[in-house]
Amino acid sequence: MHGKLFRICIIIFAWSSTNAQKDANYINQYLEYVIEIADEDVDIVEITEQLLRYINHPLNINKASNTEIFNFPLFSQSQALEICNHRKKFGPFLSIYEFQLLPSFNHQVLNQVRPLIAVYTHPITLKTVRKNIRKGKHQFMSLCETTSPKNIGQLRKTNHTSDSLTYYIGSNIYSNIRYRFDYKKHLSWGINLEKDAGEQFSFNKQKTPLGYDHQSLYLSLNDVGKIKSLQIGDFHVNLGQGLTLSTGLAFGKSSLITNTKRNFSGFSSYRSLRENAYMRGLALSVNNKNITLGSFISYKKLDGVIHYLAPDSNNERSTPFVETITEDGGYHRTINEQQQINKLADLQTGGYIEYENNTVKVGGVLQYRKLSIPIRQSTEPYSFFSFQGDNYLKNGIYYDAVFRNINLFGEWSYCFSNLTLAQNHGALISIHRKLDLSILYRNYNPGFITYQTNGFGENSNAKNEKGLYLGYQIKLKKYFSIVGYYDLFQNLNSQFKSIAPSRGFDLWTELRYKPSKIFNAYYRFRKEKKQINSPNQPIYNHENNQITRHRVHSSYKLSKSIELRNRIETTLIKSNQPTTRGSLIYQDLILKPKNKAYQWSTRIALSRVEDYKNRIYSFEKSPLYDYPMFNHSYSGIRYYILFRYTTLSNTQLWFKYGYTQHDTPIESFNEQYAIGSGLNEVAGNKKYTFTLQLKHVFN
Amino acid sequence: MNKLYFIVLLFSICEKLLATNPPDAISLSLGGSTTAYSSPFCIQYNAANLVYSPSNIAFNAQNRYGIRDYTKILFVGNYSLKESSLGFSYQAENGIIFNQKISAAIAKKIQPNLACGITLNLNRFSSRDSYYQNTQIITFSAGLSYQINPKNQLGFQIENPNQSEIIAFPKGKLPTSVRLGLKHQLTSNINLYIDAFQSSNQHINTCVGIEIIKDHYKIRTGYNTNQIIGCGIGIQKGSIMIDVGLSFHNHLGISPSLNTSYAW
Repeated sequence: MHGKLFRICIIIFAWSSTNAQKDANYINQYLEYVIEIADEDVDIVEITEQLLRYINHPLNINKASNTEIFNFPLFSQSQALEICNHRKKFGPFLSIYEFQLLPSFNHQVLNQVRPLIAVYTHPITLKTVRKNIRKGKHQFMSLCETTSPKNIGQLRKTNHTSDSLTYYIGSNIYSNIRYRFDYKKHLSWGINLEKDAGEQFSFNKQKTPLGYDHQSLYLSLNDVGKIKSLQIGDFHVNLGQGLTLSTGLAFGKSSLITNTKRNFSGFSSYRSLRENAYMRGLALSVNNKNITLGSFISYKKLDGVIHYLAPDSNNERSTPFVETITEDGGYHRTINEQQQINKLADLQTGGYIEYENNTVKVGGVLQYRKLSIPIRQSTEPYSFFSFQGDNYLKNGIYYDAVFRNINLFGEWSYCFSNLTLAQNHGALISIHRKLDLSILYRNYNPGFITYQTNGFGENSNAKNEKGLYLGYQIKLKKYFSIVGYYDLFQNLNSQFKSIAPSRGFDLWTELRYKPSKIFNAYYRFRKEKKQINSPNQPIYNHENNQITRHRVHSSYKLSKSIELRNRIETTLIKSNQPTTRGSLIYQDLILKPKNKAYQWSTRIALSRVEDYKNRIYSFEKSPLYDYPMFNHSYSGIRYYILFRYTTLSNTQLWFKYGYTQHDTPIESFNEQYAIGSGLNEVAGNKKYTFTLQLKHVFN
Repeated sequence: MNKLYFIVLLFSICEKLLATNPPDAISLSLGGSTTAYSSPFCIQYNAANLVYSPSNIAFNAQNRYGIRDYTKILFVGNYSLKESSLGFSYQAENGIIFNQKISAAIAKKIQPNLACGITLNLNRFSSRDSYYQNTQIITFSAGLSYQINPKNQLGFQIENPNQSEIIAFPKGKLPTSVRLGLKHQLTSNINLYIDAFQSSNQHINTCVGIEIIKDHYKIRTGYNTNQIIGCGIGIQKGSIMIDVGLSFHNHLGISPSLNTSYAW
């Protein structure tokens, strides 16, 4: 409840004005709230895009089904329930102001959420789109980032004397260019180009790829007449609870307890920069009354390391295979990495059928995938049940229903190729205006195929796991609320770092205090316990690994233009090994002068971390779309300053300067310090990062 | 070369102790939780709070753990203007390494509820043993102090962020430290102080202190997680203030400290 209200509060920033600067503020705050306890692997571009689309297209309360209203992230469970009951009893809302009749929507809350909801929208046809296409907006954006001093990969290139393949071929600059056109949510097209630091920008046609290393194009038509979605080029497919097929973004456990439920809706354009996490081809879904039918076909090339099986008596030639395929990565910085480009052909096809009325949504999905080279897993014990072969067929059945104050959801997914099942079932319950609950049960077979899935769980893959999650949001007294979850899980088979079946729990609690609009603070406690291999014992021995985290955070707006934030965070890891600790203190200063075109934010942080396992993540203000999480995995200092300048002609400029300094141990008698690892390692204990981003919007 | 190593080791020990030992009687008796405390001695732990202190001149004498070599004297003074304050201090600590520190600070109110301060320190290390060479380094610190509401005040200070170098080879640097403190007014005459102190060469240290004000008397007690428990009393007579503080360390013993100050 309070979490939702918080989101509503931060919407004020986005909607008190219509300019893009406000959007960026809103997104930054939402991102911090949602992803701050996630690991490093979060697609920031994808979530930013989702949020921006969400801001631009208010929800039609009268047209939306009950499930859509419950899925709307700005409503709490109790608020959604009140809206559905009111609509059932009195019919469609005549005006937004009718919301004030609902107990959860006082004048203040309504003002905050009002720009995001509507009671009437014009029906859109293809003719309407053609007629109004000139009202669409073009957006151009480019980001460059570089670091200093040079890393080993760059230095080896400069001083290249041997025939070693391990050096970076390209410059030490990360760069991307993005262009898009959007007419509301109905029509959009765009192009995304990206080059990672170390990759080569090549004009040589003989080389692959030409120009930017990653290139992506899309054309997208949505909710036009009977066409629910038409995607040409690169696109996402996200269905059900993400167990069968989901190429996009989904969050794991976080302070938003409703994140246990996936709110996927079929096909959407691919606007991100992850280099493998998409489909490439054609997708079409059509809608007739309550039934939606969709189908897609995708063909693309994947990177891979090709291995060969030695020929046996039956085969004269050796057989090629790959050990894995990944959705992330896509680095082509060294000659070795370049040799892996486009080694596999990946063909996928499938479809879905969905029935949706006011309270129930039920659907079925089918996916077939064929690779040109088979996957053959390594001989590690944790790979024993993993998929092997060059094709697989999966299907799933999912549901999402609202009954009274309960939102039930779930999915069964079955893989025909290796006869494995994964399922999860959950409920979001609004017990009282002051109490919301979230429950989720999951059971994922060890051999379940998890490529392109997003099932909720402890592990990043929805396999080899059984568990029960309970989340809660309680509004205590006037200024206090408490949010948290308890997750009990069990790994059914061995997995990485755990030779035998294991179990554990994850307890997370946050006490929030918000006495006024200008001040808020919270205390957060998290305790995780897992069984992992004991390094000092025989390999079959497990030991308990327990991580405890404490955090105190406060945020205070001194005036309309100055905001200060503080944080103290500690980690403690206990196992059979010596106990290790980590701690972080930081001070933020955010300056947003009124009626000025610029604003800046700065941070001073000091961390002391004894082991990488004790690392602490913190959210940094960053240019829009840039990854905002910083990993304090060392003892030392971190400063940054972010400057943003907005011109009158819808142009924004971001500049960020970051400085990282690892501690020089006082008792140390040598000067061997380094930041990073492998080819990314830089000599010395200092690292500077410079980021520049330009965004221009025009009609 | 061995002696050179030895002196670096001494520096490091000395700095570790300096980093955690409260610098005056008030801080000592509050367990070190003074980042949000306003006094003439705050030039040592958060110069921003100088703007809340009247013009003062003050003196502190302190001994640590009953060890003669760890005796310290500290002179401080500040001159307050309308929205700003200038401060200075001189500190001398006896020991195998004789440490002198001269500081100059400026603090200014940026907004009615926000003040900032910067301190420049000249540290000089010398030894009675003429075998060792002397060294001096410049460090700086910066602090913020902001009044959340009449009952709550937050303070922040970073000290020596650039990790000034004591000796080039073998490399020896003074640590960076960060303090973050809250002052909470429990009642009209009881203040609670909570600090988190993080030095780059130590684990995070939490300090808690309480101050009870009764007429001209201030009774203080506090502790920190570095195994120090402190207590003390302050007596005000007109413009003169005398503070006595005593701390007890679990292993190292008792440290007494005495402040006298004159305000105008």
